[in-house]
Amino acid sequence: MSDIATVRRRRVRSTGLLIGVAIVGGYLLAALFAPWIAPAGPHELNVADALARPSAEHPLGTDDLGRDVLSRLLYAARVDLALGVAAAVTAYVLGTMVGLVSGYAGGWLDLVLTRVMDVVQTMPVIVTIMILLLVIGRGPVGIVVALALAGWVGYARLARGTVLAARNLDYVAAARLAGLGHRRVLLRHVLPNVWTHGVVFLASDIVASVGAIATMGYLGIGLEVSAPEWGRMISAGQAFLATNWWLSVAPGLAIVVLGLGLALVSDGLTDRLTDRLGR
Amino acid sequence: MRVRDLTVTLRTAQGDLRAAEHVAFDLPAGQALGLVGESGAGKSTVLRALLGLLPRDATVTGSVRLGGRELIGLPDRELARLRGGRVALISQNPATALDPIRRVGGQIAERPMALFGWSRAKARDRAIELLRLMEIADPEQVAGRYPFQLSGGIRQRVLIATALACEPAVLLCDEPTSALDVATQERVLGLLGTTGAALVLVSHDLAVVGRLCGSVLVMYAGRVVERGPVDEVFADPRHPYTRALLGSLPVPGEPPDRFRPPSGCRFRTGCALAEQRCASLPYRLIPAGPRRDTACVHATAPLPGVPLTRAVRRTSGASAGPPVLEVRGLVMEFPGAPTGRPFARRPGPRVLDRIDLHLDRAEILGLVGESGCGKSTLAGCIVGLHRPTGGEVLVAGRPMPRHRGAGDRRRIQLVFQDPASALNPARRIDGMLAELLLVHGLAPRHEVRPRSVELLRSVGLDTSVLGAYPRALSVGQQQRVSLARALALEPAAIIADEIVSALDVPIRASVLDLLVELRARLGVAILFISHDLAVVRQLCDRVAVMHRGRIVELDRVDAVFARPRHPHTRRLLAAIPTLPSTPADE
Repeated sequence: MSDIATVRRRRVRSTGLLIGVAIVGGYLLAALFAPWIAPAGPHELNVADALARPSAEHPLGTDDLGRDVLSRLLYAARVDLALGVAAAVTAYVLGTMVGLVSGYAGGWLDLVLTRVMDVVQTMPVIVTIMILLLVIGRGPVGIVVALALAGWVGYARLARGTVLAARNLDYVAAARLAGLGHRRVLLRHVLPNVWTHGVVFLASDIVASVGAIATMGYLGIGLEVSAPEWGRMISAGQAFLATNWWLSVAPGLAIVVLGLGLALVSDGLTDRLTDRLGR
Repeated sequence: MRVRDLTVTLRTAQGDLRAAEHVAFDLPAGQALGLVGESGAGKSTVLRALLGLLPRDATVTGSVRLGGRELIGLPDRELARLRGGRVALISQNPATALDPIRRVGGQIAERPMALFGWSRAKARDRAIELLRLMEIADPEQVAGRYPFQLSGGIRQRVLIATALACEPAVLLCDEPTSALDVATQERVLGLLGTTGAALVLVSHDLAVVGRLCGSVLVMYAGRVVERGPVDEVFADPRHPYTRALLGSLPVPGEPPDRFRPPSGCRFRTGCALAEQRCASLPYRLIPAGPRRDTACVHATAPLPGVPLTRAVRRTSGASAGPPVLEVRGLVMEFPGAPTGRPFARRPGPRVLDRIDLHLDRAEILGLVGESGCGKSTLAGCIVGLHRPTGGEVLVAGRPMPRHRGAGDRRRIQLVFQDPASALNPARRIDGMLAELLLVHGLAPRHEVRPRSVELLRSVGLDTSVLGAYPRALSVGQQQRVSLARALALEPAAIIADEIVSALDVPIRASVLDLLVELRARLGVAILFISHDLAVVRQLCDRVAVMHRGRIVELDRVDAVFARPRHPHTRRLLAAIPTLPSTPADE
């Protein structure tokens, strides 16, 4: 009977997944084709035309340096998406591997790794990132590494928990009893049942990464000041909220809508993947 | 209650599914009706349809009349008033059916307060009275407890009390006792018999139905295949499926595809009596006696005495040569409490105490005992899941090293109780078998597929299984795949740990047949662990009886069952649950 409820729910959810994919796809297209669809370059200055109101020429107006806001918004999608995805995926791979080993090995190794996770988790995220950025150096690589090092713990805990549950299931024992080695059991038998949980989390984590990058941009600790980036754009537009509110609101909306899209994808994926594994 | 032509159609992603078809029965006041059949036969669907509890995607047609009032098509509000009032449901699992964060007294009192507008005090008195009726020793105190503070048996009785709170005319019970141990089951059944309400009892346990019900409805693949008074149906089943359920006729294979059911009789593909006409005659119930009907065309007379018991019984048993598996003086102690000094522990409880046994080629040795006696620990020690504290395990005369390599592990294979958890949900069957064959070099790459097909054939499955994920298979098929996986490694011995206890009776019989056949054809030795003595008696050559970590008796099956020497064995034998006698037993 619950099968039927599931079918119906899945139908509703598929629509959500479709909308989510459309939104995220739109962002990807915008990022990919920014040079062709943007009315102007992201760094084209025109001080004479600063703080223009929206018009046919500048659909979202211009900022205080006369740069076209829509163009910067589109170019920023490249920066934010690329960094956000790279950071989240790095954290996912790192975290899942650590969690896998930790949960499967058990014993002292598990103890050490779990304590490391605890320590990393107790450090305030933004402070961690600021320190890491100081050590690694600002710039795209620094940002990705810093975010991944701050964000892998969630994945590690998730993977570890799933492995702990799976380790007690008979199929892991069966694989060991069949004479298969630990590495094979871990990668071919346990991992296929574990990675999907992280992927679901990953979709929503990309939003968090984008948010973190924007925060760094807002605080002025991320990329260079002139780089087109949503967070920078929000903070730069802050001074003109009373007169030209769209300067901050447009990039803010860009982040919110992307978040919505990714959340829908994440939800849809949950259903798809749990269905695949029949759980 | 009067049910006519009740048909339930479920809309699913794969198409429409007739979960129940043309079900009809009468239930006079105060009588009890049993609904039996294997899982998926449609028993629970019928029960829920009676209450209008099916999801909206289900279409229910036909007629359910309760005291002259038609229930099908009644608006939700009216149905809601009936539920818990005139008709009440007792579900399978009292742990989930009770609200965990409310005191049980309040839960019992809730319905009369809502339906009859009783005051809190009056409803509370009624709740305590009901609990007393349920033979609960201290009802006032129990009423103030939360469900998790109560044992399973008490919880089930509380659940019955909630169902009885509004004095229902009809009580629907879905496997009311299957979560309980035998002794508690007895008491609960006794209580159900004294409620005065008419009962509809869904159960896969025929002994329960036989005890409690006056008449019985046997369902197969959504249809009623036989109905009549319990004693007549059980003593002289007039449908081959009923007979299979009673455990006296093997049923090869699986239930039919429910989305595209075969024409005519749905049971014919597995039926020993099937004829040409079985495929063409439409489904209808034929009178088979003054108060009974059957859907089988053969049933106007008692069924002929065709192969009622399995043809393959034990072969000669022990053969010459050294035992394929030997266990010598095996001892297992669990780590005890810490002594306070680091890394030092007191000696722990001894779970296995000097176990000696051996398995000859092509022999099936039964291992029986109550739960907790150490059967599964012994299995774990033999296959190498646990490291025993002392003693040794020898395969073909050679002691197993303390750290077993891949080649050592391969020689003894374990088949698990629950096939659903023993098969990796993320891996297809072909990949699973191929990996084992390749890793151990048991087949060159181009031989992998033909060998996999051969393995599946040997456990009675066809090639379509190769591309499937475990969840796409039925439990019976999954357990066969588990066996195929063990056989793929060409083991000297297979340890079968309660491998049929998760299966329905007919499928159970077919898996047991398979074991006998594999032993005869491949010469594989099997250690068959079970708490079911009836199965052991039927299957095994010798039997070992375990009690508190020791083997207290080990002898040929006939000898042990005829002249049990150890008092514990006698106790076990006395506790074999008895089914109503069936003609095949004679």
